Amino acid sequence: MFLENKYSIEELVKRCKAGERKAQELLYKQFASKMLGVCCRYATDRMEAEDMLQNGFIKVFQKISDYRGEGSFEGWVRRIMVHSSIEYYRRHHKMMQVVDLEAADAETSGYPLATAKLEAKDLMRLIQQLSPGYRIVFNLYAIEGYSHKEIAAIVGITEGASKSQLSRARSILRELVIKMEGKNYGYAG
Amino acid sequence: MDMQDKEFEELFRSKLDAFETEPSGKVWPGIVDGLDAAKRTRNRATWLSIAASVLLLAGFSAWLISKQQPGLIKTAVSGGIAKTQKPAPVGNTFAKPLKAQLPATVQPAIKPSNQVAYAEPEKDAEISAVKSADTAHIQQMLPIKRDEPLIADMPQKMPVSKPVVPDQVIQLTVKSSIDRLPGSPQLADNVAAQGKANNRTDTTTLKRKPRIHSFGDLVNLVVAKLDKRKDKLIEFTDDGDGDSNVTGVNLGIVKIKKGE
Repeated sequence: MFLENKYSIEELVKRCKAGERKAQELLYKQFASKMLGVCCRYATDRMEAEDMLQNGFIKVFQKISDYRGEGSFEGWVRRIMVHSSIEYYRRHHKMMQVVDLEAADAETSGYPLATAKLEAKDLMRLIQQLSPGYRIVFNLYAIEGYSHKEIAAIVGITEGASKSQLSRARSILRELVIKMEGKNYGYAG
Repeated sequence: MDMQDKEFEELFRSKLDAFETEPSGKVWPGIVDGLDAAKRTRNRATWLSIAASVLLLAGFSAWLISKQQPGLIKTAVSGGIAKTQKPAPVGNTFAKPLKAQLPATVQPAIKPSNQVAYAEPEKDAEISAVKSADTAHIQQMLPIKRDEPLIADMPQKMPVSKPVVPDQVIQLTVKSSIDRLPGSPQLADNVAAQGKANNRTDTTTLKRKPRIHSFGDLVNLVVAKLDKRKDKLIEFTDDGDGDSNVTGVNLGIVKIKKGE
């Protein structure tokens, strides 16, 4: 713990560029928990999330000479983590490339959502229930804040597909939330 | 009542964006392994590309030399080519000037029909010797070369009869004979030249004190350490200007050597 405070992030990055193993370890310890949080959103379960985390950090240390201090280091690591997670899916799962032409039902269910009661781990569980394609698009749009155009470029789908997959993700999540709240409050169905 | 899409997403974002959870102990060792494995692959790729480049260089040099001097390339499937190659140039350098030294009048003695008239009596011994024109005999004839009248006569008798060997060869060797008078020093020169070429090769392989004056010397030094054969994979020699030229390539099947 004390060791981490001895070096600034800038100093650690410089040492990592030189290939210092100890500096790499400290940098990893600094960001691991946060980045695992990111990977959990993209993964189906904890084990998959840790695989993504591992691959992500390997990429970070291999590409660290590319980082030139533009923007925050954490943001840079996060971007690598997101890309690495999507890459993981490309290799291990079949991506949902199909454009969902069906217009998502924009109407609400009519039920109030006492969403404030749901905690982070609940929401995480919900997201993990989405199929990978929907999950990735939802994450990129709703949490990472990318535009559909950017998502299309990252994932390799059309803008239209990105929009429709986002709609579907929302619908499914809403239903899942209701189900979960129903359980919480003892509602049937 | 209903939550708009934006709010819905904001809910997820606010709660999940800052979500943190500690990884298990096996993640960091996994990262270390991944980094080391990647470095090993990179090193192997580097070594392979260096090896491939050297081979390409050798092959290209071989091709270049073949373009310059087609006669030098000798190919053989078996490995016993080195022995046959070295003596051949020696024999050739002796044979050619020899044949030219004995004037063209004498050479066609092999076809006895109409040239006998030109043959001088003193040269009968030489004519018979010339008839059997293999290396051993030619070497026996070396003493004859000291016969100066032979050379002096040559310019007169040259155009008379049809030579046995191709014209180009005669032209070349005649020139070389004229350049060097008398005969024995020429032989000596050839021997010396060949010897020098050999010595150059030997010193390249045997020398312990490396002196690097040029790129070629550097390559020779590196190759000498790796290639323990007499004829190296690739061999450079400095010309008078300090430039390195490829004088030898040995790819096993193909061996080329510039050693005149």
